[in-house]
This record gives sequence, structure tokens and C-alpha cells, in this order.
Amino acid sequence: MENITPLLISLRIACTSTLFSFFLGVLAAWWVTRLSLRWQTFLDGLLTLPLVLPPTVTGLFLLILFGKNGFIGKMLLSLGIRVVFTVEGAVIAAFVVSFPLMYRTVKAAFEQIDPDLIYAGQILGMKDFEIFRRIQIPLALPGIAAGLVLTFARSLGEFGATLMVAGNIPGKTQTVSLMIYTASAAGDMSLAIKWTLVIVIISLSSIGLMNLAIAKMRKYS
Amino acid sequence: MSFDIDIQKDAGDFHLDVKLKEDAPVITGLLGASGCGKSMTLKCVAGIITPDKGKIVVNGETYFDSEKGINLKPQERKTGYLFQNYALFPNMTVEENIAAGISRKDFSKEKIQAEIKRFGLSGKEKLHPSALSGGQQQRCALARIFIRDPNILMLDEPFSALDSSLRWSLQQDLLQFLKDYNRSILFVSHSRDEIYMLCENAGVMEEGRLIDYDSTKRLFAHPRTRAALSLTGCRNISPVKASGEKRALFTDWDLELELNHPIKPGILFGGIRAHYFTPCRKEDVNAIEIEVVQVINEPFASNILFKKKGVHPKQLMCWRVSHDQIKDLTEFPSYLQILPENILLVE
Repeated sequence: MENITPLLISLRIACTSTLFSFFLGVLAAWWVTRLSLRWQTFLDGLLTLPLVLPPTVTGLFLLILFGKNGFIGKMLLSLGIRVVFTVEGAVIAAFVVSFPLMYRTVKAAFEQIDPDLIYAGQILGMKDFEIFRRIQIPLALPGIAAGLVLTFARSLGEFGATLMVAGNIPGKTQTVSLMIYTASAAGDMSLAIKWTLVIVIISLSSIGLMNLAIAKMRKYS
Repeated sequence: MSFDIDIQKDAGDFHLDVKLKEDAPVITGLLGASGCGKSMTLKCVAGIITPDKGKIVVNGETYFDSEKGINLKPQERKTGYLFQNYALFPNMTVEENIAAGISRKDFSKEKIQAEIKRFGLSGKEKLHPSALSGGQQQRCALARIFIRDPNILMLDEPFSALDSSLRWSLQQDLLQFLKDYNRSILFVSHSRDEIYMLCENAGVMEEGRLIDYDSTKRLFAHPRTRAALSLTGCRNISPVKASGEKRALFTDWDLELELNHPIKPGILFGGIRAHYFTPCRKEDVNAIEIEVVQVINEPFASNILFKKKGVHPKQLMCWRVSHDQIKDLTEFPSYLQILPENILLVE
């Protein structure tokens, strides 16, 4: 392979965004399941929105928020951080688009847990965070693993929102997905197919790893 | 060792209204059909559900008082709760489950070992709950509760998830553990046998309300309400109307019987326990000339459904007789008697 820079950029973006999705997704899922049903419905809708909106629409929203004149963009600029047309922007785009997958999968896993187990923990004097750490997280692990793989795969494949926010700058923000688009648009089919194979292999092996991990975790249920 | 519970809660079209009070460490039973609010009552005491109004005081400590604005968290109440399915943490071993309820400063290996031994779980310390039998799971859950020495112990239908063959031996096991446990115990069940076997006092619940509350013996011998009558296992219940000084008409059976006392105001139903009928002669008091309609056999007893000869009643009566008793009978008796003192009259 002549130049693996797009792959490195893709992996870097996907790993960083997955890391954020992991922590924020698990915490958000935990937090939302503790709220009243009305708030749950509202937040569920809000947090799932990026999953159902066209990525270009999400990208546009992000541009408005993080642009030079955007609410968050202004604050970040004053700290010397530029988001638009940078790899940080690509991470934000990948995170926002893939976060709902983590949030929804983990929330479903939390909801699967018999509420009597949580009650039992409370009656036994366990603090809420202790119940989260020692009961809810271990029992939701298969769901968390599934969420991780889905989030990683979605981040790796992100195209639309990334293009809108971070652009398609070779060597800087050009990911594998963007590279495939650029190559095939330029008629370089063999290059496009090479990169397509790389993406397929990475995606397949992460799904395989997930299934292995879940099989291991299910040992006591 | 006492408790004083007086709570009300509105949950949609369900209204919970329960008053329970004990001054001695006894086992108090709550008998009721599923959905009558008995588990909800326990969850209120444990702090899982918050009542709208009232108070919950255990051993002099106020857990909940709507007037004073007191509502302790479940973690602060130190209660013991045995769930129907035991609620053991599936990701933890037996040992870890038992240790889950003790704080780091109270943690001691010896204490855990002592409970493991007491509940017959030696050798199972490193197993996960899924590797235990139903009985072992229940003992593990009890060990996890007992190690915390709770102020009040609540048992929520602890036998309903078990086969009947296993149930008997587990009931005996539990009786052993509870016998010398000097604490208040609330026991919830829909089984009158379990309530009768385990509880000194018992209440009957119907649609969220506690409608009868007495010593278990008195509750079964002299139920005061129709629900108590039917939940304590009375199969023959009919509306009743006074038809003379000490006589009453049981309208569903088209039957008039002599009573011990005149019917008091407020009495609406009469009940006859199915095993209280005895064969008799025509001239005996309350002799009923019977016509057998159907016989339903159980392994060791028969339920003989009959009516008074020559009438078309709304309901049949049931005479329950053990097979030993009818062994010598070649045919059904023509007359059955119910003694006036065995007729139960309720509101």
C-alpha cells in the first residue's frame, strides 16, 4: 500500500470518538434510566436524533455550532482551538453521529436488568454509584461491548458529517471513506477497491472480536 | 422489636391503605390474591416505593412520616427483603453476594464464613448463583440478609417460584431459621397454608385495603369479611338473609338453616367449610337431603358437589371428604348435616 496516511487518520478519529462515546454513552444511559418517564422520552429523542438525520444535516448543525461565529466555535477559538477543517472537527463529527448507537445499546442493556436486583442492592445498603459499578455495569457488559463495536464501525465509516465539518484535506482530514470517494470520483477504481477491502476487513474483524468477547462475558448467565 | 405501619398511596385507580402494628417480634402474615397490594406494602417499608401519606416506624425508628417530612432512603433503613426470585447478583459468587451487604468497615472473613456455614453453603463459596439449586439460592439470599442483622425481615412470596415437592422441605428449612430469629417478620403470600404454618398474626388484603387483621388462629376460625372467608379457603359462600329468630336463608343454595345466634346487622354472607359436613339422619338439626351432582377426585380426598334435593340453586355446595372416611360407604349418604356452630357469618 503506497500511502497509509488515510488509514491512520481514520483509525485515530474512530478510536478517539469511540473513547468519548464509551464514557459519555454509558453515563448518559445510566443517567437517563434514572429520570422520570417523561424526561426519558424527551432525552431519548434528542440523543437519538443524529442517528436518524441525514449526516449532511448533522454536519450543517455542527458547522453552525462550531463555526467561527457559532456559539461553541467562538468559545473554542478564544482558547485557540479551531474545529472546522481540522482532525478535531472530524472527531466531533464522528462522535456526534455514532454516539446514539452507544447510548441506545447500553440503555437497552440497562433496561434488561431485573429491577429487583437494583432494589436488592439499595436495601442491602449499596450506594447508587456502587450499584452502577458492581451490578449494572457487569450485567450490561455484553451490551456495552456491542455498543463499542457499533460505535467504532460507524465512526470509521463516517462520511457526510465529516466532509461538512472537516473537509477532505489529503494528509490532514482525508479519511479512508473520503479517500474511496475521491478515488472513485477521479476514476481510480483499483485504489478505491483496495481501500474498500481494508474497511471491510477491519469491520469484519471488529464484529468477530465482539462476538468472542460477548461469548466470554456470558459465562455466568 | 416492633413496627407501626399506617400508609396510604394512590397509584392510578389503585388505592393502598394499610395499618399494621406489632409490639412483639412475631411473624405477621399478609394474605391476598396477586395484585392486592401486599408486595407494595413491603416495598413501602423497604423504601422502594414512597407512600403518599402516613408513617412507618420500625423499632422506634421513623422510616417515613409524611407530616414530619421524613423519608429515609432504602440504604438508611436497614431492612431485610427476600425477593420472590431471591434477586441474587448473577455476576457475583455466593461469597461476594453475601458480602455485598456489608460495609468495608464491618467486613470480616470470619463473619462471612460463619453465615456460609450456618446456611449450609460450605464448598459453594466460589460458585455463581446460576450453579445453585433453588433451595441453595434461597439460603444464599437469606445469608446475605441475615449477615446485616436487619431491624425487620420481609419475605415476599418466597415459595411461589418452587415446585410443590421442593416447597415443603424449603418451608421446613425456613421455619428452622426463623424460629430463633428474634425480629419482626412480615411474610407475604397468597397461600393460606403457608400463612397458617408460619405466622402468629395475619391480615387479609383485598384491592389495596387491609380488611381483616388478627391472630392467625382467630382469623381462620372466625373470619369477619367475605374476602377473609374465601382466602382462608372456604369453598361454600352464599349471600344470607334472616328468615326467623335464629334461622337464615342461604339464597345461592336455596337452603334454610338454623343458627346459633340471631343474624347481626351488617352480616351479608354465610360460609360453610367443605369438610364440616357430616352424614346424618333425617331428624337431626340442619339435616339437608342431598342430590349429588358431580364428584371431583384429588389424590387423597374427594370433593362432592351437591344441592338440596328438589331445588335449582344458583350454586352447588361442596363436601370435601378424605378417601379414608368414605372407604366404607357403598353409596352417598342421603342426608348431610352442618352444625349451627360451624356456620360462619361475615360482613
